[in-house]
Amino acid sequence: MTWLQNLPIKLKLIAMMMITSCIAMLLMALAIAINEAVTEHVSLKKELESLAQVIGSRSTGSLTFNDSSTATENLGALQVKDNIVYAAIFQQDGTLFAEYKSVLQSGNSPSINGPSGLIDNVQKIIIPKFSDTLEITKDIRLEGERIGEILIISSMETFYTNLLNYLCWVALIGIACFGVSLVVATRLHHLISNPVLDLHQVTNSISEKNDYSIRINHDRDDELGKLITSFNHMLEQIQVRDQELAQYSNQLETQVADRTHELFESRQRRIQWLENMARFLKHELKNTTVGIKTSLELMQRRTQNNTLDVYFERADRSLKYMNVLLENVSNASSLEASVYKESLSPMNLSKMIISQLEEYRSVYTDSTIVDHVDENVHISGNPDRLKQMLEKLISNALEHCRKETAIQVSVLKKQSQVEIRVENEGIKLPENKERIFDLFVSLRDEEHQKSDSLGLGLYLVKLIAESHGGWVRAEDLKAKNGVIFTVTLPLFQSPTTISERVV
Amino acid sequence: MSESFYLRLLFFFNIVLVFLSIPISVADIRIKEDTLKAVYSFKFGKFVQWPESKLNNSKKTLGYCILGKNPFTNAAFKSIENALVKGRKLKIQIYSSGLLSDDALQDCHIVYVSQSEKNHQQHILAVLRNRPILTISDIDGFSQKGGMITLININERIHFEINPVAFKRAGLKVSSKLIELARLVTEETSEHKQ
Repeated sequence: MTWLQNLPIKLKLIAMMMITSCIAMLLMALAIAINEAVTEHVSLKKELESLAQVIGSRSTGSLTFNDSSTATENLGALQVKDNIVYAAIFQQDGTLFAEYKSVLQSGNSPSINGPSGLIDNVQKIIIPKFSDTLEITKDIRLEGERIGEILIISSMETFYTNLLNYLCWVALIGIACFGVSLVVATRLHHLISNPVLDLHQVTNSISEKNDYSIRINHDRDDELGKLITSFNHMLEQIQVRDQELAQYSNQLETQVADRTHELFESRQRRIQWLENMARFLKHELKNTTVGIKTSLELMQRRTQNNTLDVYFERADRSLKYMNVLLENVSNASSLEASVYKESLSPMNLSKMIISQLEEYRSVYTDSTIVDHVDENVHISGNPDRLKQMLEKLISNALEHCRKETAIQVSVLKKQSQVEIRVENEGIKLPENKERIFDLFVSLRDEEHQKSDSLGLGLYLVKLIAESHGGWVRAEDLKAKNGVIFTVTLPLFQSPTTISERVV
Repeated sequence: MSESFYLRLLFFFNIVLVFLSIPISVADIRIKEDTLKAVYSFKFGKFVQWPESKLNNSKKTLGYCILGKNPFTNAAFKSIENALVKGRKLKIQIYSSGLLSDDALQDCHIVYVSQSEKNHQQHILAVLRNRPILTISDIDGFSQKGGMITLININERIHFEINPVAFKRAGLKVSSKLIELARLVTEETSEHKQ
């Protein structure tokens, strides 16, 4: 049935209707032919039985009084029946009493010549149960006593000829019905095929033009009509949803743009504030420290008391720390203002990190740095800033690593991203670890607190990672005490790679 | 004993056998004709319809009465003694005197008039006239004289004549199956007889 499955729907419907009607017609013709054959056969048998009954009854006297000539005359009446080829009356003991032979039959034998070859074939194919002749025997009785028997043999030639004529008529009517059915099927298939084809055409059009405003017009009230109505309704819903989505998208884009603008302005204000604050502090505190420093120098000269030198040195150190502090604040504010303005360019991250690690190894000879760097990891970045970021991570790890343990640095390529991991054994992260990347936040305990740690290092790491489109996270090691910092950056995508992906 | 003696003896026995066989064949033919007539005469009853009153007043038998000298041999009687007509057993009675009593007229359904009553047939037929009794005889011209069926031997074959008027007069109905086998005759009128 694959051929039927692959036919166009018009031909499929016509074929289905024609196949169904042909099967129905054939079955009906077969049933009628069988019924006709059986009915005709039964009718012929009954007719012969009636004839046998009549002639047998008429011949009771002949049989009783041994008058075979009258019996032969009685049998001779059968000559009006062309199909009867032989008839005989037998006495009680079975001896032949009288007989009749059709003039059409040759010879003395009661055996009958078969019908023509065509009829033979019809008989063999359609009604194999029927023979060439039909024999009827009937007892001849007088007052209930059997006095003889009558035999009538009829040729089936007329029967088969009639049946063949009947089948020819059935075939002719069948062909006529086939023609009429074909014409009707050709007209009727539109009832089903047209709506389906409309649906097909509209779905094609929608998929090609992406136009959900197309509708199918119909005035049907059947299942196909309901299907088309549902389809139109679905298109309407999709169209409305598309419009709403477009509206939401526009709103979202506007919101994002607004929010981005707000954030940008907020950052600008913050940077501006920081710059102003740093400038103000630098200017004001510098003047103040100059005054304090000058006063302290004058006091040291005039007092000439060595016991106060300790205090003077302490005051001097505090003033220097204040200057460093002012410098760092100034640098931080200028860094945040400039880092987003710097341009990024394609670079080989693997090479840069390997090179930097070699340099660190030569500087930090007391420490061990182990690395695992995937080759040819390219990103779009600022090498100077990335070196700065790596230096902050390494120095952070060196400060917090347990003695005689190595720092592990790895660069791992993962799909469209690269992870730079810096791992060290030592103390775990504090409880409020999410704040360690904030500006001027240092969560180190007193033991690890250094005088110049102002909480700027990890803030810079976060700033540089974000300026490269990435992010940084800090986690405790699972198997042992220690910390791992992971910077995730997007890989560089060349125009070729991008075009390949699009394709 | 010489061979010629045996040959003469054999020839003698043959001659004796030839002479003995002639009367046997004649007797055989006689027996066959009698038997046929007896059988035919009761079988006629199967093709004749009696009035219900005639059948009902009898004693579940069908009377077969022979008037005059019995023409049938024992073999002939034997062939019909167990025969059934109209579902009734034949009751054979012989009236050698040629006279039928009133009871006999009641019981008899078939009357076979023997050749011995040839000279009294007119009287017998006058007695039986208008009575529902089937009259059969092998007397020549029996039907022409008012009898119903006459058996005739033509070329050693039994034929029969039927007088349909006699049937009608007696209130009997004869089957067409019988009529088509018989030769129909008409009664001689009184003028014709004279």
